[in-house]
Amino acid sequence: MSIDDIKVVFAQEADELLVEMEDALLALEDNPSDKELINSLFRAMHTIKGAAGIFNFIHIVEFTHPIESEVERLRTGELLVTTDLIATLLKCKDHTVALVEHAMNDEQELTVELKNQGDAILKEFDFDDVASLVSGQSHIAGEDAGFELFDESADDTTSDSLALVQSANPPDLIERIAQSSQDTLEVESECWIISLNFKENALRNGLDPLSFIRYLGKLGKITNILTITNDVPDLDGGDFEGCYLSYHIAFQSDSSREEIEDVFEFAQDDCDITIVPSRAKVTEYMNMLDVLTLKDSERLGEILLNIGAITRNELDKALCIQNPDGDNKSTEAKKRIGDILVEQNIVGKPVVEQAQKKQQQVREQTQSIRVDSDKLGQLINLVGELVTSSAAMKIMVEKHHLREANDVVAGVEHLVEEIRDTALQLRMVQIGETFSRFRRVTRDVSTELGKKIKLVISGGESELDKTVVEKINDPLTHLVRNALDHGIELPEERIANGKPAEGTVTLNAYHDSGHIVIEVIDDGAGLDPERIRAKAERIGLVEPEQTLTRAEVFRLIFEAGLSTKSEASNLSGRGVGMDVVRRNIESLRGSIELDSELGTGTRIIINLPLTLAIIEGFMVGAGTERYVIPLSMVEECVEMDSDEWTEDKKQNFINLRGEVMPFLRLREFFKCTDGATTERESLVVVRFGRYKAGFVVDQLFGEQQTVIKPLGSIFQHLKGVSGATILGTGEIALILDVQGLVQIASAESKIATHNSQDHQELHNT
Amino acid sequence: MGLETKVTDKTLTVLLDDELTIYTANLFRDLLAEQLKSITHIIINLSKVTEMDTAGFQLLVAIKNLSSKYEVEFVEHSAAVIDVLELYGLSGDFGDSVIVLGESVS
Repeated sequence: MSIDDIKVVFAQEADELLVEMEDALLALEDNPSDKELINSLFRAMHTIKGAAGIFNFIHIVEFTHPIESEVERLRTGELLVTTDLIATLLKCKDHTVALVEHAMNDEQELTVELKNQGDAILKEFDFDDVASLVSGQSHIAGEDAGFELFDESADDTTSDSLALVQSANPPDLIERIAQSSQDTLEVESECWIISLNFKENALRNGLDPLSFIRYLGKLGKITNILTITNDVPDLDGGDFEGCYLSYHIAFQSDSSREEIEDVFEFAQDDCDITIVPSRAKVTEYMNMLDVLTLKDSERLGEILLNIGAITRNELDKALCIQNPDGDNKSTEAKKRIGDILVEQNIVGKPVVEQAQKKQQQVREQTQSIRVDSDKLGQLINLVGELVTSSAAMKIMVEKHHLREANDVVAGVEHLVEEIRDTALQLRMVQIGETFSRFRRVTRDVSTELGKKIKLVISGGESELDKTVVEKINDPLTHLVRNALDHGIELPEERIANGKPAEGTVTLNAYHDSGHIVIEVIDDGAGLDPERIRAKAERIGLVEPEQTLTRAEVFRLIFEAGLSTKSEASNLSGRGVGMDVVRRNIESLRGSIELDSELGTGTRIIINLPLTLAIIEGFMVGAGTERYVIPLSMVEECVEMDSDEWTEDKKQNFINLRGEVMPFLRLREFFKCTDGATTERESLVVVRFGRYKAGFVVDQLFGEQQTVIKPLGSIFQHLKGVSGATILGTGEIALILDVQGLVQIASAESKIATHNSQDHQELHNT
Repeated sequence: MGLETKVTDKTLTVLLDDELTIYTANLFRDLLAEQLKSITHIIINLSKVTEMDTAGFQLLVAIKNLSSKYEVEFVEHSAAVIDVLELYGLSGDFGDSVIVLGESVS
């Protein structure tokens, strides 16, 4: 249970109590002397005040406290129930509802409007009985929450009555109360908040909350305790051997987190325990983080453990959540330990952030050297050459059967691989910076167009090659501007459609098998597939009788004909240079997809390779030629003579273990007819995003480090090839453009099924 | 068994004379439930509660929750009861005035 969850529980409880209070007030109108009704009024105000105190919702405490005192006077008979009083108390109830709502929004400052409202309501109370008020107050001042009425921030709340008090009392009394209020505030900030939620079996297992709370008292001072008894069953039929209680405890102590946790050591199985450190303790952690000298590459969990912000136990649990299977694979999908700790509410976010910052600082301190990017580029080129040379050496050694050299070659190969990875890592930058530039764009566009737009950025820490980042900037700007300009509607329009007035544009990035995925999501008007289709038909992109899937319709957006500015507004404004965007992305060997729901928003997904320089490749042969497929896209290889797949020549698809996918025979596609056809063809299954296809090849050569050499502009329009690489033998192998080939393959299998020539053009252009 | 009950003028007076713990809570519940007929007022006398634990406390909460149907009153809290109520921060909720009395007695 996190602090936010506890707050929600508080809000719910307050809500129930306030409803009860309203019922009681309405019943009091008919039954002014009913003690139980007055008690329930008191209970509502008293409980809300107490709980608000624990959470430090000062405004609620300030407001409810004087009301509680008034109701107390009702209880003692000092005051009589009148219709006026009931009306005022009803207003009090409404105002408390507003305050609770306000507190849930995490805003510290009260709005002027709310404050004035509260003041006005409190003034309605009949405070003319000064003597009783003063005696009441001085009595309460000794109590936990007795300070609010005289707190500086609150003194205009009751300015009238306070003035009376002041004139009637020696000033030192006021001072003394103010002083005590200061102390009380101090105390609040020094408190740990411990939440205990006992499971039903706790008592039966011999654990009594009493003993733990008593024991806790030995470590420090329990300044406030809220026992939540709502779940206690009815007398009739309830089983009182079960435990139905939960507690929020404000606890003042110098003890460490570890020591507090130890108190509940035996209860761990039968109780959910949340320990929220005191503000003083948080400051202490922060200070410790400040002066801490970190060793390089120290882990976040260890840092937090060292300063005592978490216990070994908690760290182990969090690590368990992070890695439930206990294996160390799939590092990409893992959550960061800091996020888990915050989620589990073990450490406050500021502490984690501070620790992360510190970690970052240390990293920067030890690593930050400014280097000319040209020099880096040169280094990477050289590494590329080295990769090629080492491959050449390996071939030599194999050719001459120099067995003694095998170990050396393997060693060099390993080192070259590491050098390659490190060199590439040098050029990796976080995409976050690129993302945050759009904050300003968002702000400017919103004011310019009179829209309310919030930009949400996530995954900014995902890294990719600097050259890719530079080239992605323009297309991204296009997409974000589109979302801001045309995606998000005007506030009035949004409200009319039942959406929040503020629109949200989300930029998200994450890694997916050697690729980075960038998403641009808006919750705006969305696109109408019907209209896109109609438009496409009008300009002859598709034939009316053609059946297109939803995804295919949206892909039309990226076609050249649909993307002039004048037509943009007809299509909910989308399509401003979308063909240019697509071309940019594709020139980075990436892909772009769009999905949209009319009225709810649009999601654009960009898939990019992490680097443009060196990749792990998978080499295959067709005829005498060799081709390289990026290894990250290879799903599996199946031998031709296997029973697992069957080929449908007519419709151009294969059936692999029941899964149907389009395929290409590379020898035919690239027309490498020379060289003997082998008997043993193989199928290489590739995946690109959601799309799968098979390439039929003559030979499999296996993994190969591949230095990508861009093709000259003369080959720009070549289909199915994205680059070339020099092999160790000095030969050249072409790098396959998997995405392009997958599209061609699926187009061809469609031709077979639909027999439609237009369709193919659609995909090929 | 330490439960004395007396009904006078639609008022049920209960004197709990035993420990009020997990061992007795369900028993007291059954004995009490039998008596809850044709009365309007319940007075629980806690003076002879020698020991109270959380199960016992929950029983008190349940009795207190009867106040929607009956007038419920707790009187003469014993030190053991006060101790628990104070620890749970609920001493105000089970009869204020009696607490003062209880304290002065002990």
